Amino acid sequence: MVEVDLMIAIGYVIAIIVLILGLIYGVYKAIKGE
Amino acid sequence: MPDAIDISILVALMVIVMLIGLKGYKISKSMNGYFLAGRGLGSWVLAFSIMATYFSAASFLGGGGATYLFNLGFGSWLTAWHVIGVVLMWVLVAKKLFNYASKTNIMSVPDFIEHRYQSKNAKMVSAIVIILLFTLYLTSIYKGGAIIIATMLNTSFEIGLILLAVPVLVYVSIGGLKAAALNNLLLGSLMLLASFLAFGYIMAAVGGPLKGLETLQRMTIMGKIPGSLWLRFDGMGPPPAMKVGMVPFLIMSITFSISVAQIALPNLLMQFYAAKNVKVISRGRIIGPIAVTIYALLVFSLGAYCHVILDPQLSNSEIAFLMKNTDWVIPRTIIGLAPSGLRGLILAAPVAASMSTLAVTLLVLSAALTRDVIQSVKPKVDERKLLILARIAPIVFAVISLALTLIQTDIIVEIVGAAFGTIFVCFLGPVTIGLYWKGATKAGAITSMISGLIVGLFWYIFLYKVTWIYPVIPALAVSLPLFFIVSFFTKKPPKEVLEVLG
Repeated sequence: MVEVDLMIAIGYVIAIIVLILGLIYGVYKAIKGE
Repeated sequence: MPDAIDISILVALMVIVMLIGLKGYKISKSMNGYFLAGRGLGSWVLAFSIMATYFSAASFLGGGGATYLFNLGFGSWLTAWHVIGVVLMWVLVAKKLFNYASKTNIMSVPDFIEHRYQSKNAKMVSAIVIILLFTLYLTSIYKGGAIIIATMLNTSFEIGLILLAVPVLVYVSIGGLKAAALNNLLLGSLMLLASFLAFGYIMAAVGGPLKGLETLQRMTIMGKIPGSLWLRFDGMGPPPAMKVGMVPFLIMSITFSISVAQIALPNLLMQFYAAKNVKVISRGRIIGPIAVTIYALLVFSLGAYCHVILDPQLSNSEIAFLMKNTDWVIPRTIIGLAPSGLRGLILAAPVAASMSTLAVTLLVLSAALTRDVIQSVKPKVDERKLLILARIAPIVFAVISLALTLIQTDIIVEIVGAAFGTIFVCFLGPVTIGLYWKGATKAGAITSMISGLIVGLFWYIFLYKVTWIYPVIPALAVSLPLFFIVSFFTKKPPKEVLEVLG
């Protein structure tokens, strides 16, 4: 069983969440033509 | 060791980038064409060019190898801050700066500062900061690529430097930003391909990400360091920082500083001026963050896994050497894992990364000297003469930084280390915040740039290795409050200028 510190895991999770939010915003703006 | 096929891949890369350089010649016959590719870049070229400019060889060698010394927290937070930085850059800065450039016909970041703050002095200060810090920064860009070329061709570091610099100078001088950006699309694609290959080979060798961590957790490094320290955020790091319990602070301050820098680096921001239209920015907002995230996720955590692959074959002194010189970890691992040909492709990635960063940074330096300094002092100078000078300037800056790379004294090494972060500190207030905050003034901008420069360099040279806090943090803590306070009490630019901000 791998025991990785929460602070390490949080970094990867934040990266994925921020990318998804950024893409949602990007696609929304692209559809609106802005 | 690399063989004839690996070497031919490297040589082919050098020839191809020079040939692509010719494609930019036609359009680079005016200052606008030379520095901004006639403002005609498409979304893929722009997004990849910005990514490839930002990621130098240090991203592949240093970023990839860092977790051979640091715990995995370095890799995870370097990834997180990179994604935050690239999303902020494309969402907050790209369109705003593109619109400003379209309305005002500015060509460089100092041009923006002059127009935004209606101040030639602010422009001069920013041009001097760019010339000083980017010339020093170039020396660190050379290093990674030149070491790989020298290793692959079995030649000296000096020859490696020249072989790296010459193709870039040829295509930058001939084709300007058009050539640099087209090449960056190729070089950025090569970097992404190499990141997939490196990740694939390393993960296959350790049995996958989780199996690799399980093995690392059970290992004892050099017979005394538990592998489990690599899975703890307050675990492994540079021994002096571990001794004073500063590893988490060190990780956070370094990863934040080198990643979020994307939102204020002139060699990235200037490329937004060159977008063909607003749709390019719109599509780039999707392509740019995806490319950076893929690269960061694949590369930045590899070093820790290399313990599982390399350590059983190495003596304790060899492991200690690699932990001090983590740039060698990825090349050493890949040379042992990948077959001929693919090995050459992967090792060409740091060379490609060096070339792409070098090219646009040389153009920014050329613009700072010709457009921002010379044309400001002598406004009536003939554009044709200026363009000739603009083509020669990259060669001059390349020679100066090559000389600095070769004669590295202790003080040069220290200042180079501080240059990259300090550039970000100097331009965050005046450019990035100045795009949004109409209350920013020329006095605030000048104070912020000068204080950021002084604190950033001073802290790196005298206090960094005492406090283990990366200099960007204290430099920002001084320069940003000064930017706001001085701006608050000084005269604002005229209304018509502020209207351009939207």
